[in-house]
Amino acid sequence: MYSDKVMDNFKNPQNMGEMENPDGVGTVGNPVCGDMLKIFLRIKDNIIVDAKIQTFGCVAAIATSSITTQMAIGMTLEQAKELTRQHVADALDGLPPQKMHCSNLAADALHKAIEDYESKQN
Amino acid sequence: MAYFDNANSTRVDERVIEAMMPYFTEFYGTAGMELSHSRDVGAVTGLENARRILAESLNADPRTIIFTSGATESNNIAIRGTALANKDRGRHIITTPIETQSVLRSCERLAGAGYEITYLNVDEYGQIDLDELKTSIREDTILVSIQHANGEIGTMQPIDEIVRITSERDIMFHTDATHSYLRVPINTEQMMANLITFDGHLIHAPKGVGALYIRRKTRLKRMHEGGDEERRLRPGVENIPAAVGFGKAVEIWGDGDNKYLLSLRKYMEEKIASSLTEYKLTGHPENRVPHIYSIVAEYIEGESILVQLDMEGFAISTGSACSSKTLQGSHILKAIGLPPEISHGSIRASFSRFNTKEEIDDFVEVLIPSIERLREFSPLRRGVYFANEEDDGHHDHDLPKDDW
Repeated sequence: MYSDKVMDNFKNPQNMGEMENPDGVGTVGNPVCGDMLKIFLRIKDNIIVDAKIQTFGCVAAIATSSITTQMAIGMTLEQAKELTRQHVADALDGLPPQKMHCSNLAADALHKAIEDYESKQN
Repeated sequence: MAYFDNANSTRVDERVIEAMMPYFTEFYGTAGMELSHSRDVGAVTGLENARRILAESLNADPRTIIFTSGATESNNIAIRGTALANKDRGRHIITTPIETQSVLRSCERLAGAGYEITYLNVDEYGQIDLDELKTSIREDTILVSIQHANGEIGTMQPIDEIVRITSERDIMFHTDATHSYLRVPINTEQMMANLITFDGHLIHAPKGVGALYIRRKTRLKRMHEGGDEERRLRPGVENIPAAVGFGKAVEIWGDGDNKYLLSLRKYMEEKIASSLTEYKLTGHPENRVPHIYSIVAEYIEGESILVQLDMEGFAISTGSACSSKTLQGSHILKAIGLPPEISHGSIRASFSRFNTKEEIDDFVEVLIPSIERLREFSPLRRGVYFANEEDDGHHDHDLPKDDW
């Protein structure tokens, strides 16, 4: 069963959608598996000032997408790099065991977006 | 608020519950001996009456019907029972990839014990090709098991023709009629199958009771050892109240029921066709059972639709991987050739006599915006599919280990 926090983030997911001219983009998963996340970041002075996310996936995928953007906004890049699937799952008061991979996806997408940003800086 | 998951299970009809009650409180003996006390006599009378009703519904003799715990058990007895009974005649079995797990895994178990299984191809609608069946038959073929109707996409197989082919060659034919029973007529005087599986909980009888029709002279090895119940083919004290309920459920199935179910499905089809885009119906357009409506909707995933609809009081089902215990997608949608990213968006609505058109109106009013909402933030919306584009090393669907 899903926690209340998961259900809230499913009913009213935050920061869903696209971003114009994102500073970093990260895509993980693929539709073949049934989960796909695409996260967009706005970064200023090493801080994530805005994040948007698109999700194709189940309740857990949508909830982890929503919570990850909320957690990421306001973080420095270093802090965001430390974000793990456990942090995401904890922020949602836990996920059913077979859905933990969704929280992994969300954290991965964030890291990929940061990597994307950093690779563009050089 | 409405329950549209009747192909999963059904509400037990009040009349069925009423018919069952005396078998809990009064006739609570067993059906072993006719010449026993009144509690037993009442029980055996009830059981045999139910058996007679089921037999009549197939135009068969009551001695052809045995009660089981459900379709799974009936399928196991039918498939493994005939395979073992006929092993000296041959070890080749023909079936399809869209059968239920109890059929598929029974075949797999036999494959592990020296039998050979051929899985016929199915087309985009899930139908088999009769010519392919004919050419698949060998000297050592002993059994063909092909479902009458599919519970996910509703497609019906041409079992009249199939049984003509098998009986010509003296091959046993088994059909799982769980989803077709009562919805279409099955006349065992004309459709000469050897074995037919059917189950109570899909027709407003309780769970835990099913039946197996066994044509006279069909050789069968029993799966369990025990007393003399069910002609020793399925020993064990029968679930008499449930069997009585099963009989009652069959008795009350009305002539108008199937017409009504069809009208509900057609209504759902129309309403959705007029307001939803980018989806398609699955299963055969004509050769299908009346009560199952199934689609695949693009860009969205089934579990999120299911949960959203549940929040609004509607029950449907999906074949998406995310919604299954094992994170495996529907093997049926895979067999009919749907790419996984499409089959994740599968939605099935299945009707019963308790559903109404008003419920369908309410449902569609909620379904369309629910799908729209999910499509709004789906990365697939712009038609961008990139399967395995990047290395997805971390993306493993690590299922929790069952270490009990």
